[in-house]
Amino acid sequence: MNNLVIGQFVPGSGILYKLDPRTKILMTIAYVFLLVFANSWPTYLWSAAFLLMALVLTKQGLGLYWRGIKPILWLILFTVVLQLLFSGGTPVLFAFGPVKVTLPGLINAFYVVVRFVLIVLMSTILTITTPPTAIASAIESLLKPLKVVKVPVSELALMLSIALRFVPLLMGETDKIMKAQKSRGMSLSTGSLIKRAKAVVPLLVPLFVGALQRALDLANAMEVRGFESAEGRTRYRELSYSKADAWAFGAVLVFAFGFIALNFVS
Amino acid sequence: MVIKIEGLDFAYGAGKQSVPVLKNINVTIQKGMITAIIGQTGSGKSTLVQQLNALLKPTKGTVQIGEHVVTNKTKEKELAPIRAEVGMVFQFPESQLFAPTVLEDVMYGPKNFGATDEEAKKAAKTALKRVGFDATLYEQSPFNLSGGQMRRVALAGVLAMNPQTMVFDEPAAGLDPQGQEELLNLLKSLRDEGKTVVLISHQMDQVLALADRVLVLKDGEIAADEPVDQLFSRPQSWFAEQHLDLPETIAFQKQLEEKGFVFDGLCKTVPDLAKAIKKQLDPTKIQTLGSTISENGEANHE
Repeated sequence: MNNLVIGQFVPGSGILYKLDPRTKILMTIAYVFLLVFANSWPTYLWSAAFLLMALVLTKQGLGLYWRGIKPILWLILFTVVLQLLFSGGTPVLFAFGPVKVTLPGLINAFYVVVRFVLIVLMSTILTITTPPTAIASAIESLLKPLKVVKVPVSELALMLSIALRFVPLLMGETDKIMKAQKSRGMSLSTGSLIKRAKAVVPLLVPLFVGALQRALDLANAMEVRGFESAEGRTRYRELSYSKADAWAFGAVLVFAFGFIALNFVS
Repeated sequence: MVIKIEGLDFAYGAGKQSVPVLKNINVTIQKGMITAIIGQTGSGKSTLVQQLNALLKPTKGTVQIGEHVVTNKTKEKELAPIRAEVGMVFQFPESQLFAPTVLEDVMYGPKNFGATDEEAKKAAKTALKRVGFDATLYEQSPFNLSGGQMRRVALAGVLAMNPQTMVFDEPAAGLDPQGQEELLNLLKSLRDEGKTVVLISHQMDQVLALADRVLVLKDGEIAADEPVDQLFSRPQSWFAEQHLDLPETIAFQKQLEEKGFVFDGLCKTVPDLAKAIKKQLDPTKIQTLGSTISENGEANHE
C-alpha cells in the first residue's frame, strides 16, 4: 500500500518545490485542459517536451515516476484494447470474424496512451512536489472568489485538510486490521469473485466504525478547544508568489501558444 | 511447537527508502512457556512478533514455526496454515470486531480454518466462557458493548481458533485493574495447558509475575534473552541503559542490597520481600517494624 506514488508527497530540492502551490495547481489544470484538445503528433510531442522539462525540474529519479505509472498500467491496457476493438474506420489491419483492428483505431489507441500517461505524470509531479496541506490551502485561496456567491470556502478547505490528514491514519488502521483478520484466517486472494468480495467485509466494517469514531473524537476535541467557525483562521505558512512563479506562468504561456499554433497547423 | 528464529534481519520498505528495524535476531521460543518481550517503544517488539505468525516475512534469515520454514521467498499461500497454529492478539484488538453478533464474530476464525458451523459455534462458546463473557449477550452486536467486554470478545475470537501458540501485544492496555488480573490469569492457564505464550508488555510487574523467559530488545537487537530471575538479577544500571524500569519490589530489594541487606534470590512479591527483610532485622527493633509490616505485606495500623 505504501508503494502508491499517486497523491504522495516526496521531499526534494528541485525548482518546482519552490513554486507557490497555487501556481502548480493552475499549471496542472491548464496542462490537462489543453491536452484534451491535442489532435496530432506534433502537439503530443510538444506536450511531452513540456512534461519532460517539468520532470527534470523536480530533480527526482525517473524510477519514482515509473512507480507512479505502474499501478495504472492495467487501466491503460484496458483503454487501449477498447480503442483498438471499437474504433472502426478504414483501412482494416486485422480481422478476427466480427472484431476488426483498424489503422485509425491503432493511432487512436496510441494517442490515448500518451495522453493518459502525460496527464497522470503531470498530476504526479504536482503531488510529489507539494505537501497535501499546501494543496489544501492553495485550493482555499483559489476558491476565495466564490465567497461572493456564499460558497463556504473556509469550511470546505478545512474539511479538505482534515480529510487529507486522515489519509495516513486510515492507511495505518487498514494495515493493522488487515493483519488482525489475516491472523484469523482472512484470505483476499482465493475463492470465487463473490467470495472475495465478501471477504472484504471484515476489513471494511471495522475501518468505517473506527473512522467514524475518530471523526467524532476529533469534532469533540475541536469543540472543547473553542472551535466555532473555519472563517478567518490564521495559518502557519502564508502563500505568496515569487519570481519563480512568474517564470512558471511564462513557461505555461509559451507552452499554450505553441500548443494552439501546432494544433491549428495540422 | 517450537519457534526458531535464525539470522533474522527485517526492514520496512525496499531499496533506498528501506528502514531497518530488526538486526541479526537469533531466538528460540520454547514450547509451553510464557516468553515476555520487553523494550522501549520503537525497539522492534511488534515487528518481531509479527514474524511469529508470518504476517511479516524476514528480509534475511529464517523463521521456523513448527514444521513451516518462512523465508523471504515463501509464498503467501503457504503462510495461511501458520496462522492457525499461531494466534495473534493485537494491541486494542477490539478494533477488529466486525460481525453483526458477538457469536458470529468469534466464529469467524474457526470457520476460516475449516470448522463447520456446529464446530465453530462450540469453539466460540467455549472461548467466550473462558474469557468470562456473559452468555446472555451472545446475540448482541459487538459494537454495543463496553470496552472491556469488546476486548473479551476479541480475545475469544483468537482463542476459539485453539492455536498452539498465542501472541499477545500489550493485551492489558486500557483495561481496569480487575480486567488486567483476569487477563493475566488467562495467560497463566494457557501456559498450564501446555500452550506457548508470547507477551509484549511495558508493565514490569506483569512480566515478573508471569514470564518464564524474557527477551529484551534494544534498537532492533536482542539485548538479553534469559530466564526472568536471571534478568532481574542484573544491576539497576543495566536497566537504566535499556531505558527500562525495574518492578517495584525488585527495585526496593536492590536498594536494600546497597544498604547491606543480603537476600538469597529474587523476592517476586511484596510478602516474600517483607519476610526476607524481617529475617535480617535487629531482633530488638523487630517489635516496632513487625507491627507495621505484617506477614502478608500489608500495612498494619494497630
